[in-house]
Amino acid sequence: MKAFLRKEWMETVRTGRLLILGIIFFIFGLMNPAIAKLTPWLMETMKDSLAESGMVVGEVTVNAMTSWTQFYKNGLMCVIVIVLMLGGVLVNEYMKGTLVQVVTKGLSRRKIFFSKMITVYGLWTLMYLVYFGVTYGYTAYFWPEDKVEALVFGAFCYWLFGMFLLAFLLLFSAIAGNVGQVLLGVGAVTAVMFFLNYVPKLQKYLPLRLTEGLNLSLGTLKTEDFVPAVIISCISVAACGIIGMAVFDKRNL
Amino acid sequence: MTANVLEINGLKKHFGEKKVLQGVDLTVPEKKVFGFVGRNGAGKTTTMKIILGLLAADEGTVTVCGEKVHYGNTKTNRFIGYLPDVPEYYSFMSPAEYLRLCGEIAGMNSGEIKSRSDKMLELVGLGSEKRRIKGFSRGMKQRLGIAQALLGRPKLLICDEPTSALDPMGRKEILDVLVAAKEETTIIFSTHILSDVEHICDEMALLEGGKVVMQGTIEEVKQKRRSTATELRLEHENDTKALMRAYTELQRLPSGDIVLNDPAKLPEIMRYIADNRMDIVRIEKQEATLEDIFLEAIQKTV
Repeated sequence: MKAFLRKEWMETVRTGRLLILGIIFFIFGLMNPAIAKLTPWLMETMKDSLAESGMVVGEVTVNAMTSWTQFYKNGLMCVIVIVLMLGGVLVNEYMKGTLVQVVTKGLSRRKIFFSKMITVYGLWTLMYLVYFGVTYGYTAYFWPEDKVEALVFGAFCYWLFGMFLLAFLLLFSAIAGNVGQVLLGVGAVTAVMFFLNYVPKLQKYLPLRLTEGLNLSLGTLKTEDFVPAVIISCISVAACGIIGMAVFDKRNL
Repeated sequence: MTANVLEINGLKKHFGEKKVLQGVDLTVPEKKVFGFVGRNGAGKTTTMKIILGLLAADEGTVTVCGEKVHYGNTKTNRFIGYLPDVPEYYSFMSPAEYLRLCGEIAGMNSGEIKSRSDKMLELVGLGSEKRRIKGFSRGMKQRLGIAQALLGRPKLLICDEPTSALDPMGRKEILDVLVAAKEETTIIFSTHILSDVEHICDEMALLEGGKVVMQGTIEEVKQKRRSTATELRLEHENDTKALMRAYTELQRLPSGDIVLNDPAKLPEIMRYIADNRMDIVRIEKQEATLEDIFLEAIQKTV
């Protein structure tokens, strides 16, 4: 499996996937404090034109919380980017037929699937750390005095939300025949979650709750409000892994 | 006694309504180049994928080097090197890197991988190739495929139509490599190009209608037809028609020649020709080519 993992890493680097994702997540991470920092200047610039429309712009105060608000807003974009970039991680190998030779060389299908899991989850974790790290660093630089509550747990929850969707991406990769079907599957899971989120009683159980880390920092939600969603997400990640592996074990390559 | 590297008994496989394999029986002895012949869609690739554990059989058994093949993660693949019809690789790797990946997966140690991959790349003429696979031609990919298939010194090398998509030069290169590889392994070579089979194979089997309809050495297969078929041509069309009426078992070729497949009837027919004062232009025992045998076998099963 070590050899196949090295191949995965080589592919990530040589196809430019690592660089592209690194740049995107760095820019996203930078945008959060930058937008917060530039907001007063932007409002000042637009003050006159807004006044003509009858809107009065008062004094705009920004702080670390403004930056972290942007962090949670842009989080979904990060998840979408990683899903789009990794949608073909397994399916492209079926379509090209590259797995036939490694399987006939003796690499077990479970090891292949497990390697793909490590690659996908590892890449998401690495990129998320870049995203979080850049936002954290610049926010701390611009507003060193500001303290934001429950930052790490809130960020962890968003990371787990990404893991949840990527687990379904891997599951659909074991079932589907092309990238479009994989993305459709992940999109359907997300759509169902948004739909179910309209039912207030279900909200705390849905992994969508994990994107609401900002409310944790603002104090409108407590840590325990996230626990059911964390548990359900962890179970889903494990279940998708087990089912995906079982399906992949029997599929035609 | 020569051991069999591969034994297939009663192999059946269907896809939906289509019965692709309907009881294939096949044995491949050691150290032979074995031609697996059949027209496109005859089930050659399906049979090979079942041997490799990539497809599940509906019925029947396959054993490689005495061990039974199981669908999914079969351990028998350690005996096999496989060259698919259109081999695909990780295009971001160089040939040496790809062989290193294959060697590590196969459990070879790093020293062995290095020496063996150098030797194999030299054998297939890619020894000095440092480029990534992305820029390789089809022929180069086929040659790299043979190098990867032979890397772990397999007891059985399975080549699925390795020459069918290549130009004459590429075909010759691949056949030369296979002839060289014959020294150290048994080769199963599936194809519908019969001249390739005649060129390099010791034995062959013909797959038709989901079954093996003929198996033996190339000479044995040819001999079956050679000893039975006689072609003759008469001077006059009326005589030809009269002879055809008298002996309904005779066949008429588009060229006008008459074919007799049963040698026991030949003296009687010759007497008939002499008694009726028919003029013979030409008579000869047919030198069967594999193509003739192939076409005849297909006609019989249609």
